Order: sequence, then structure tokens, then C-alpha cells
Amino acid sequence: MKSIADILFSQKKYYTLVFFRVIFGIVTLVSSVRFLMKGWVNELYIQPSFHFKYYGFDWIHAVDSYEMYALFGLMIASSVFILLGLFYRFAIVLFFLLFTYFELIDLTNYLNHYYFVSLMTFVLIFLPANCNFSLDAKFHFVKRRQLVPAWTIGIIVFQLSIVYFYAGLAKLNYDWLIEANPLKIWLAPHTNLPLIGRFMDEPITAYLFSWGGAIFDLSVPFLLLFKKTRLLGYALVVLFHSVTSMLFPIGVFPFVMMACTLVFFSQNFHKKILNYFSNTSNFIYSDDPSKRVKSKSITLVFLTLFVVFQLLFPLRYLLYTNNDLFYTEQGYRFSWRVMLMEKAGYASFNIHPFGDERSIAISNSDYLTPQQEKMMSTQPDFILQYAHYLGNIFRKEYGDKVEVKADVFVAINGKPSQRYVKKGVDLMRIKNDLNPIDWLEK
Amino acid sequence: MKSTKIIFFLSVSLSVLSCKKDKEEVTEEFNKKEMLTNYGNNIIVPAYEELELAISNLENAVSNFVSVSNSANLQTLRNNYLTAYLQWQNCSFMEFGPSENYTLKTICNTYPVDTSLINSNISSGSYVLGSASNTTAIGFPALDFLLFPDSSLSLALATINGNNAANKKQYITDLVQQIKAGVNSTLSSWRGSYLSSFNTSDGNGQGSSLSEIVNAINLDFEKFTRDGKIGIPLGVRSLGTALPEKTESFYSKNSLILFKESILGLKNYFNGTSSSNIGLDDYLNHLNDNNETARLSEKINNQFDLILQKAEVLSDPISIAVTTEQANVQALYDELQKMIVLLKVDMSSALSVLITYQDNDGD
Repeated sequence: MKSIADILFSQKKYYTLVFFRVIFGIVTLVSSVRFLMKGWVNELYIQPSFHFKYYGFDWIHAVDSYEMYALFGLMIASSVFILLGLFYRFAIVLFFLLFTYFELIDLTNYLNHYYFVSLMTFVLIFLPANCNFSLDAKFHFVKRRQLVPAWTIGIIVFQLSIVYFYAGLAKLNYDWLIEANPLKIWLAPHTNLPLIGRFMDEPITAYLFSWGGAIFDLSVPFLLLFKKTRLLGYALVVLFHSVTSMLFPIGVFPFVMMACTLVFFSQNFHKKILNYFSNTSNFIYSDDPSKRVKSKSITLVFLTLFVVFQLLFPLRYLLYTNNDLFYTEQGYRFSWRVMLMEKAGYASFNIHPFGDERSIAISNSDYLTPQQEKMMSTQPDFILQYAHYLGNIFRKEYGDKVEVKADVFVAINGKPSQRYVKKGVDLMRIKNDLNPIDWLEK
Repeated sequence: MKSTKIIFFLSVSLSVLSCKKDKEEVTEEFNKKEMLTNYGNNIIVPAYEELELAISNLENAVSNFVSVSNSANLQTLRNNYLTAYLQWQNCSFMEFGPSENYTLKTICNTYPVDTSLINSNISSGSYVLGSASNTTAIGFPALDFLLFPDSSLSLALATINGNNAANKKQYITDLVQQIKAGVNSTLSSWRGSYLSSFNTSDGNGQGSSLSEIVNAINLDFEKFTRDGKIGIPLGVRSLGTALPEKTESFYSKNSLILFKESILGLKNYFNGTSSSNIGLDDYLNHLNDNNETARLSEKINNQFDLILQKAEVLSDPISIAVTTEQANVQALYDELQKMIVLLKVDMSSALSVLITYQDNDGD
């Protein structure tokens, strides 16, 4: 019987895996340098006096500015080493740790694509992506190999497919399909575009984009997977990401996805590209497949765990009964919900130092950056963290009677704004945990 | 190939649907450039022109008063000062582009003023009004302090002509010159290349004209109208203890008419009131065709009216009202708070304008 294990451990040429290492190295290098050039290290990590924490990662802190720049420089350097395949294992572990550290500093900066990069680098730690076409192989730091097990490529393909497919699943909701929102709202202002501009505020355009986007996300992994439809699939990838890049302020991510999905192409394609840089037929191989067989069962266990985690974790919102996902956002992040809703909010906080009527109104800009305030105004866990932060500042002066109350209003997908946090709730009494939220208006 | 077929099928059916819809209803076109041109040509530039004129009248009144310091000239100066300050209320929410570059709002209307700083500037006679340390000693609020040392005209005249009279008059002259320079620079930038780029920058991204207009309105309304004019004097930051001395135009006691002017000005601005009348309200109506209840533009206009009604109830000035009729001021504050939700949440969301002054990627 040809089991799944047999398929996973069948031997493939190294081209695809190595190609991906190079592409990924370029992508991470370019985007980190861009990040630095835009001044975001300073703006997002150093400037804010307060950072929103990820649940379970309260212990992650920003360091001072010189150290921050040093770490960021180290991260950029490690992406160069990944690209060159020099001290690869060390470089990829370092990159993973540093990149993930930077992401965990402030929840404000959460983006699905950063999560994707973190996951991808984590996976790459375990892949022999430096086994060829690398300085490690050239200097004999590792044995030059021609063959790699099929799972090392499969796991990359799987991870990319998950991103698209789950993004598509998330779009299968009433607002997206029936109301064509948020796209109706987001497309309408783009009437200034050349050629297609005059169609952008027609409802039909929003429907076309909504349905097209959902169908694209759900089908593109399969289109890319099969040879017959691959070119069509990739053409759609380029079209889709070019359009989103033109319409929305989403930075480098369209290009990250366009680059990464090249991994779906045939190994001959990857070989040709690699040959363009260096003639791969000159390499001398010393493959020793027998040695690697021992770790098969451990690999299988970890692969299964990873795959199951990827399949189930985005669905954790189902654990919350009566959960209006867009409203409470419990289980919203880390689930490939990309550009899925228009949510705007306004939050104003009042400190009641003596636990009575007398209060002090807070000016959020005294404590938060504009970006932090914007994210805080629509997301319950941000609101709670910020309330506790404010409360603790005032408790130093006024003691334990301090209460923090908030007037928060949100509008989701163009519906009229409504009160969000229950009026009069003392947020200092609410614990920030994963239990169902009961302090929002229903 | 199955998915390709589905895509094909859907695109065909959707295009059929779209043809059908096109015939049924002719969607009214909205020309965003026309709206921006209305804002640029008919509203913003004329507003600064009117301010420029008011400042130049103020300048004349100052020089007349400096040469002949009698009560008639002081009265004219006070009148011209108030006219200019009222016109400033119609420009405060336009703080983007040139006015932002020249920090016009800081120059014109930073309050409360630091009276001891003003007095020490006057007695020393050496100061740089444009320096960062002097932002609380300049603009209309500084004029307010210097022209209204007393509500009685004769007593005020006596004070101005008293100690350090020459230095005091020089300071008043310099204050007006500083405002004039700021307004002139702003206006000449607008008349230069900025106007045409403003009228044609019709996207909704960061730096687009729409985003500039909306962000400036929100910032001004939240920080300067709600907090500055009403909230802080009312005591929302100070445990309910009123802080009358933090009121706008505390010395001349014109706070209430200035406030009403600012609300009326913003209402007209929102509606694009001019000869062509195309404003944010029309754009919202165009975008908001699937309204279940009232149109957003109507809600916002109603809220403007409600705010004005609550302001009518007050007895002049706000600095006194915050202690004598605190409940009424609180009611006014609550309506301002509701307006912020309409402007910052509903309107910004409907216009798909990012309410952030920070450059960042989204996803």
C-alpha cells in the first residue's frame, strides 16, 4: 500500500525548496528594509509609551531604542544569510525569534500577513533549505544534497493553501455575499481610478468583487496545484493581488503572496530560475537518504500536529456560543480574516477616582498613538487593556477605589453606530481572559 | 477546470444582472472633483480671504489706537478684534495643508494664555513671538487679555495707557502682525499651487483632499470644540470642578458667540454652503443609498441644530455658565459627544477615510 507516509517521504529534487528559501529571503529582506526606511521601528516600537499585549505574551517588552535598532539590524542581516544560505539554521532561527518578537511587542500592529511570515519562518527552521545552492553547501558546512523528502515542499504548499482557503471561507457570510459589504463602502470612493473608476461606486461592482474574491480565495490553491490550471491560477493571483494593492493600503503583502505562490510551479521551472544565477548541473552531490529514515516517525507526528493545528485553530471562534464574530472579535485574529469588515469606532474613557459620580475625562492622544487609538476603539480586548492601564495609573494617585468607565460606539459594515461597551460598567472589575465577553451591549 | 467554469458562469450571470440593473435605474453621478473644487474655490480660499480682510482692518485699528489712544479707537479696535476672531472660527476646522504647515491654529488660537509670560514679555520688551515657548502668549487669546483688562471701556483704557504703555502697544501690534503673516502665508500657498492639487486630489487615501478635510474636522471638533471650548472649562478633566479661566476669550467674555459661530461655520462647511452647494452631505447621500432609517447627512445636520439649541439656552458667557448653569453646559457637552460619534465613526466609515494620522500597512 502506498501510504501517505510514503508520499510524504518520497524523494524530490531540491530545486523547489531551495527556490523558496531564496524567494523568501528576498521578500523578508526587502520588506524589513522598507519597514526600517519608513521609520516604523521608531514609530511603532520606540515612540509609544504603552504597548498592547498579546494574550499570554505580557512578558514581551520593547527594549530601548538603540537595542531596538540593533535587533532590527540583526533581523535584516539574518534575512541576508537566509537568502545566501549561509549559517542557514542559525539565521532562520534568529530571524524567526526576532521577527516574532517584533510582532509580539504590540497587538496594534497585528496583521495576518505578519502571522503568515512568522509561521513560514517557523516551518523553514525544520527544512533543509540550505542543502544546495547555498554558501553552506559550497563551503561544506552541510552535505550538498540533490534530494529532499516531498513533505518539505508539501508543508509550504499546505501553509499557503490554508491562507487562501480560510480567507475564502471567512468571506462566506451574509454581509460579504448578500450585502457586498465592506466592499461596497471601500470601493465607492475609488471613482478617480483610470478606466474602471466610473464603475467603482456601482453596487454591482461591489458584488462582482465580493463574489469574485471569495471564489478566488477558495479555488486558487486547487488551481495552482494542478498543472492544467496552474497558469490560470497564477494569472488570477497576480490580478487579484495587483487590484487589492491598487485599492487598499496594504503595503508589501500583495507582492509577498505573488512571490510565495511561485512555489506551486514545477521543479523544472524552479531549476531554470536557479540556473539563471548559477549552473546547478556543476554541483556534486553526496546524497545519503538512509540516514534520514530514522526520524520518519517523529517527523510524521510533528507534521500531523502542525497540520491539525492549522486546520483547527482558525475555527476556534466556534467554541464561543452565540458569538457574533465581527462584534466581539473573539477568535477573529490568527484566522486569515483578511480585509473582511469595515469597523469604525470611537471610545472615550472616564476615570472615577473615588468610585462615585465625580470623574476625569481622558484624552486618548495623551496615552496612545493615533494607530493605537484607532485599533483600541473597535476591539474589546484593546479597550479592556487600555482601561486597566489607565486605571492603574490613577490608582497610584487615588488608591483602589478607582473605576474606569467607557463610552464606546462602533459601526460595522456601514450600519449606524451603536453603543458598544455597556453603559456604566467598571472595566477595572472585568478580567482580560478568553471567556465569552458579557460586558458589551447586545 | 471546474472552478474555471464556475467563475465563468458567475461572471456571465453577474454581467447579465448588471445590464439589467443599468436599465432599471440610472444611478445619479457624483462628481467628487466638483465637490473639492467647491471646497477649494468657493469656501476655503474665500474664508481665508475674509480672515485676511478682517485682520487688515484689525491692523488699521491697532495703528489708529497706537497713534491716538482714546476710548473711541479702543472700541473700534475691540470691534475689529471680535470680527476677526469670529471669522477665525470659520477657518479653525480647515487646519491642513498650508495652514497646518504654518501652524496657523497655534498662532491664532492657543488658550488659556499665560498672563505672567505676556506681562514679562511686555516689560522686558524682548521676545520672539514665533518661538515655541511663547505659544501661550500670542494670538487672539493674548489680544483678548490685553484689550480687555476690564469690561469697562474707560477703566480698560486707563490700564492700557498705564504702566509700560508703549511696550504694551508694541506687543499688541506685534501680535496682530504675527497673525497677519500666518494668514497671508496660508492664503498665498492656497492661491499658489496648493489649490489646483487640492481640487484634483480626489482619492480617499492618506493625503487625499477628502481625507484632509475629514481628519481636520474631526481633530478640530474633538480637541478644540468639545474639549477646549466646553469640556475643559466645564471640568470634565478636573473631577467636575469648573475651570472658567480656561474658557476661550475669557477676558472679553465672547465665548458663547464664538462657540455658536464655530458650530454654524462647521455646519455650513459640512453642507458645502456656497453658490454651488456641493458638500460632504451630498457625497454622503450619494454613498448612503441603502439607508434603513434617516440619512446620515440628516442626522448630522439635526445634531448641529440640537447643539445650537442647547447653546441658545445658556446665558453669556460660558465661563460663567459652567458654574451658574452647569447642567445646561453638561447637556451641551453631551450633544457634542454624540456629534463626535456621528462624525468620527459613521461619517468617516461611510466615506471610507482612514482616521489616523499615522502611515501604516493594513490587511
